[in-house]
Amino acid sequence: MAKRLAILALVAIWSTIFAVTNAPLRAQQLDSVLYVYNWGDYIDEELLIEYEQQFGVRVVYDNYATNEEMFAKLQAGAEYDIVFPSDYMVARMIALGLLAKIDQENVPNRKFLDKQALDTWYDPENFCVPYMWGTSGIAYHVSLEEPPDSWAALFDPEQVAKYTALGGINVMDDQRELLGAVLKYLGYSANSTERAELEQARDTLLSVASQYRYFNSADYQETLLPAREVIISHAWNGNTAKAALLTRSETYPNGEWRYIIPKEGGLRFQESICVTARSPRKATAEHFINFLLKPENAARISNATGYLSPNIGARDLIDPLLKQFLPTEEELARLEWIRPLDSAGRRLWDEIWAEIRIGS
Amino acid sequence: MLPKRAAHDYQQRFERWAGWVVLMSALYGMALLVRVPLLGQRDILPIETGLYRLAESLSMLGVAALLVTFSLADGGLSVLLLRGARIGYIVAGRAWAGIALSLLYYATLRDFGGALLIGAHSGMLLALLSRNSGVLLAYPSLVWLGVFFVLPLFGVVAASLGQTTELGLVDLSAPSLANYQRLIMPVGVSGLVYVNIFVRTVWIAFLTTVICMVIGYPFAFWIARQPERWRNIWLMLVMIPFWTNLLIRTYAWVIILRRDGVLNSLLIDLLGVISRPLDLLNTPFALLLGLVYGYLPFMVLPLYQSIERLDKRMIEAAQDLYADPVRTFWRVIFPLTLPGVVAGSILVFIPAVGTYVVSNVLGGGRFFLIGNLLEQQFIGAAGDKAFGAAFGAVLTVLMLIATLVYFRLGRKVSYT
Repeated sequence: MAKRLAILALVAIWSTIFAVTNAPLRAQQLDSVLYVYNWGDYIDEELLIEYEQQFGVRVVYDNYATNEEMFAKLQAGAEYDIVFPSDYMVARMIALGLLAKIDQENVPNRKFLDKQALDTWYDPENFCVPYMWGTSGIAYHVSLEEPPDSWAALFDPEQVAKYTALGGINVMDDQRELLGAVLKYLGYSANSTERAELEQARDTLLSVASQYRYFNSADYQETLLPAREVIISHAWNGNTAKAALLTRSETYPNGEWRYIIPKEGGLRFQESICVTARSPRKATAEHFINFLLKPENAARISNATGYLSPNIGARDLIDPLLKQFLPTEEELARLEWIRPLDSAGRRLWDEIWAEIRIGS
Repeated sequence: MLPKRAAHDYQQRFERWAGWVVLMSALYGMALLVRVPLLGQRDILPIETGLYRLAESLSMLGVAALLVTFSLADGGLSVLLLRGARIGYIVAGRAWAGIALSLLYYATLRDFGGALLIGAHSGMLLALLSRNSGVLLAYPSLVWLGVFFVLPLFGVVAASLGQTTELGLVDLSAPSLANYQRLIMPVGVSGLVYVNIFVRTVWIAFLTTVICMVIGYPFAFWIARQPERWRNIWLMLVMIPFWTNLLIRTYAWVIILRRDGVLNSLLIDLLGVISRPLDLLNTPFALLLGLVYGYLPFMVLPLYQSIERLDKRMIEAAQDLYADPVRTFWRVIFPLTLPGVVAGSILVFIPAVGTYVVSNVLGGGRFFLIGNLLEQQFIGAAGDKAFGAAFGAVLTVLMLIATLVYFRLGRKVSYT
């Protein structure tokens, strides 16, 4: 009762303020606060302020760096309303009953989303709404005379020696991404759990790993690439776009970094916006999600993060530079989703990874 | 010996305090009762399944009834205590029962704050009944260590005996030592991978400690020999980097060391010593540089402490007895400053073993150390918490043993 009174009082206060400032009144009754837990650098933070100003909902915004970190926090009882898990984590969280199913009627802007992005392996019942998606491939500096077209640039000893001499290589410090890429290079599935295939991938990596200048998947787009600490990098498309945005100059109006999806195929992932099962503010959360799905807002998120939005309405509104990072239909067909591994497979991967890391 | 009357008053005072403490628990017991219905359906942490089973039979109503009983009994006890009744044994019984209740309360309602309140409060009663001011003074830090160090450590050990499930939870239904076995099993073609990671991390931490000592000892000695008013200024200068976050200080080194960084452009453009930029980042050199830079103050400060306290007459005595400077140092000065050496080494070695930020930023991620392995298991792609817990448990135990041995060593030498 007290809570309801408090909400009513807040609504009254806010409506007075908005009546005075001539701002649009809220269409529905919203909660006074919303707890949002997102990846670092994965939104246009101005949008949060605008949402607060327009709707009088205070947005408490926190960041995480990995899915597992977010998962552990939620399990330990952190009370967030909205989280942004990746594909496999959405599947896991649904299985554990940690997510609430979003009421599609409350999110009308869902109509702007690409039908393909909605039809996913990890969320067949549409508990969540797709947020952003991306691919992993190779980023290279425009000064390279011959742009790479294959994973061989990172894994073939001769080419590795060549690029090391030209300015160095960065690969991601991420077992699913790096081992996955080697598996693709060798012609296997990026989700393989065959020991022989993984051992071949290990040997391939061990033969070149000592030459890599960096193992960085955390901040390479802001540190290594703009400073040209490397000439070529294993990279996510959004991060490459970010590096390109950061290096725009008169000489390079489109930035200094380009991105390719290797001919052997790359990996793909998608983050979703989800409402937690324990959220007592589901309606407000849905209202916020609908706000993020507005085409102009989705475009702004894309421009700020460099990642691709599944929002079709946003496609004409994004920075022209980002458009060159959109994969073609043919490239799209070459991408493979990163899938969760079973316990035995995970252990095998982890051991292979430890061998690679101590041998490099 | 105190006069009888005074001794009685002294005892009475503890019992008075106990009376107030019990009265408070009578009040918040009622307050917690209000929370009971709100806390009914809490999620269970994977690690708590055992505890949960224990409480399954207990209904919330049962716990509520217990709370009421406790509150009423506490009310009565507090009145008796405040009027000066001598009921120490009854109060002690109440305190132990309170600790048991806190466990039960947590198991049923998963309200950590409430359980902590009940448990810590009951412990306070025991501390008061001991009539020992020392125990009483140490009590807050004991609670702190117990709740935030010992309990989680038990959690880590428990988790290390379980198995991580497909959904990333720790299953404790079939406890085994499999995770510990995995630590000492050869992997693929690379031998004892995990032992290797452990040894190389300890080696890097050891090198860091030795370098810090070699740099820090003469430096601390020099500061201690400065005129009094200068000493504080020098110490202040040692501490100033601490005012900045370690991560930022480490990134500053990136700017200095990288290929087009400060150092390289200095060497090429200004001095013309070299023509091609040196690759300084991502080398063992950069890693050690960062670690030594980050932890040097931890070495200098305790060393300075013990060098400053050094009795100059001891040195003079050694010189009077014709000891040459080298002999004076090793036989007199060094043994006397050993407590500082031990403290400084521990303060440097332990954080260096746990290094994660420095090795990743300055090593470019090329050095896979314990910190990286733990990160992989807990919040990274490997996601095997049970295995990570086993690694963490072994690390904690080995560090504890090393520290104890080292302390013992320092004490023995310094007093003989």
